[in-house]
Amino acid sequence: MKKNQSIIESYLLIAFGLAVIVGSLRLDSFGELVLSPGLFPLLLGTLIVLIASLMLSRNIKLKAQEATSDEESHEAARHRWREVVLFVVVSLVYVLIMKYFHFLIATILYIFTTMWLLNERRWWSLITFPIAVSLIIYLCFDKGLNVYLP
Amino acid sequence: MQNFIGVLNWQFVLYVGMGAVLGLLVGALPGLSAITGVALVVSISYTWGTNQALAMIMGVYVLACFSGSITAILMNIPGAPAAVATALDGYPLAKKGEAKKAILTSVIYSTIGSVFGILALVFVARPMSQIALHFSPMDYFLLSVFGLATVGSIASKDYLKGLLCSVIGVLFSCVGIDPIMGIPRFTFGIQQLIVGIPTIPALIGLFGLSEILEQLTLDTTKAKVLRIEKQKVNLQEILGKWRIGLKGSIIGTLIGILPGAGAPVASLLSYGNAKKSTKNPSVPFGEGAIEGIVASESANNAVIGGALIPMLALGIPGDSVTTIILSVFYIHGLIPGPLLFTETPQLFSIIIAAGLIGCVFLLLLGYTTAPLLAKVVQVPKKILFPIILVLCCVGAYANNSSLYEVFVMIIFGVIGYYMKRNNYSPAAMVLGMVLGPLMDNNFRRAASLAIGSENPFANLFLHPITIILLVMTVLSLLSNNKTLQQKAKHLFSRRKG
Repeated sequence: MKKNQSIIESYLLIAFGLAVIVGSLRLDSFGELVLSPGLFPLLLGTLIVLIASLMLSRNIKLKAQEATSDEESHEAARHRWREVVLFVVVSLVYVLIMKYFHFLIATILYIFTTMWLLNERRWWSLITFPIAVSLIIYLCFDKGLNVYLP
Repeated sequence: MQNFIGVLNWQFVLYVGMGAVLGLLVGALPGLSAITGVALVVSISYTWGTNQALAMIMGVYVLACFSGSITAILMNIPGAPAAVATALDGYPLAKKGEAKKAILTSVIYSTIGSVFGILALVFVARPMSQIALHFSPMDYFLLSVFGLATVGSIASKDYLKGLLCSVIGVLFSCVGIDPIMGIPRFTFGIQQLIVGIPTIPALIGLFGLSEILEQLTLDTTKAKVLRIEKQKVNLQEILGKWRIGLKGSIIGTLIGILPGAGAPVASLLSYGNAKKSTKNPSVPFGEGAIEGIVASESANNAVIGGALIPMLALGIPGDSVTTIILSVFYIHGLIPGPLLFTETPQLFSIIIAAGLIGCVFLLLLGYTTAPLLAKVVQVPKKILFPIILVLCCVGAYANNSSLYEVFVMIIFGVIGYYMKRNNYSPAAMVLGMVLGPLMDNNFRRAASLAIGSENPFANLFLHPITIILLVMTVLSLLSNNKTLQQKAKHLFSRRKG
């Protein structure tokens, strides 16, 4: 499973490198290659393709040598990613609601939700902690460090 | 000396002190490290003066390198990878009821290591920077390539992946308006990308958020904390191990100077060296020998001064933390290298002064806060992680008062998480992002100078410094080639045979 993933990863990186090369060549050079804004990215794109190709050949060799893998199970990996995606989505929603509500309200809701997702079920903790932490952070940054918060 | 005294005032000491407390916390908390602490400070200190920002960062750096040893000794959980070697003897010693002795040894030799490294910085950085006065644009470019090639080898378990991360980091730095021709590169019509990818939110995401995402799914069952029994400690016995401490400090400083190496490598090397060279340890290594703690702690703290040497003298960071400090320099419009010592000599003094004051805080707080820290690190993740998540978001927002930068932080957090899970190196990527503009400018300047000359090849490569840098880079790349390594081993074993 892991070896297959590494091979797919290498192909994607080669595609990424090729896209960088094409993007660099499309940049206007005004006829002067050495001054062209695409020259350095072109070099980087070529390096990405080269390194990813080396990785690919190594991964194909390794796959041929090792039929079995002792990496974590497919189910465990899926479960881990599910949790990570959940936290990322909650964080993105936090940023979005911060735009429309006050920082304090958004942060109280965010801390409450993340604590809940981390299996905190004590009601007093779920109420007092988000309010106290949000207030402390707000006062420290907004009043203490003069960082304007939305 | 005048500059040194000039920066000393109570506010400066207070900033170092605040950094020291933060450093103690992040260093002791398993999973978090000096990198996370410094990344958070960078985000909030964006609007401060350079003095205050550097004071606080040095406080974090010095104390975070030490405090991982407290949990290593009392709980057998190293707060940071650099304290792994400390746990090997620190925990067995604490189990024998000698936790006080173990922690005092750690405090004393961490301080000695830090002071040694900082003194090395004082004496080595300036002469080293003089070499940079003779650098051509090609030399600067090659020096950055050498830094990236070395970081790629040490910051990642897989060399090719480390190298790839460096290259992609450099590519990320190309996004935005090209500084020479004024043409937007890789912005895809997105207005915000015209100024480029913001480095600070990216590094908070790569080091801070990704670490939390990584820790979310780990089992952190409570470990038993050993008590610090009241006992009389023989200070003479501890101080009598100064030779091992001195050797550890030298190893730490030298490893620190190597771009990409860092405290974990230094402490393990020093521990291994002490184990080999100490003929009659107090008890066998691994069973509570204070020689093991001395070797590990003196080395991992000496890395601080060592890692700052190439960063200040040449603009090439010695480890991940100095990579972030380098970004602070660029944010404040400062360029490390020889000009730093002539145009802004006070900045060098600030770093030295803050480092030494950090050592005083280490002596004062190291032992006294140990029992409290052991309790703090037991705060459950369901309480601790939401706070750090909010701090990451606020830190990214504070950079430019922009929610877009919080999105950037989250995106890089996910990228960093994926990278860590699959042996890619976020440190190499950040170094690429920081050094990218320098490389791009110098590469094109070198190319245009060469095109204008009679012999472009000679103009580019036939200079003593250029040849040395080229050889160093090629050696760094070749030394990480596994096939070559195997062939060399085979050759040596045949000769021995």
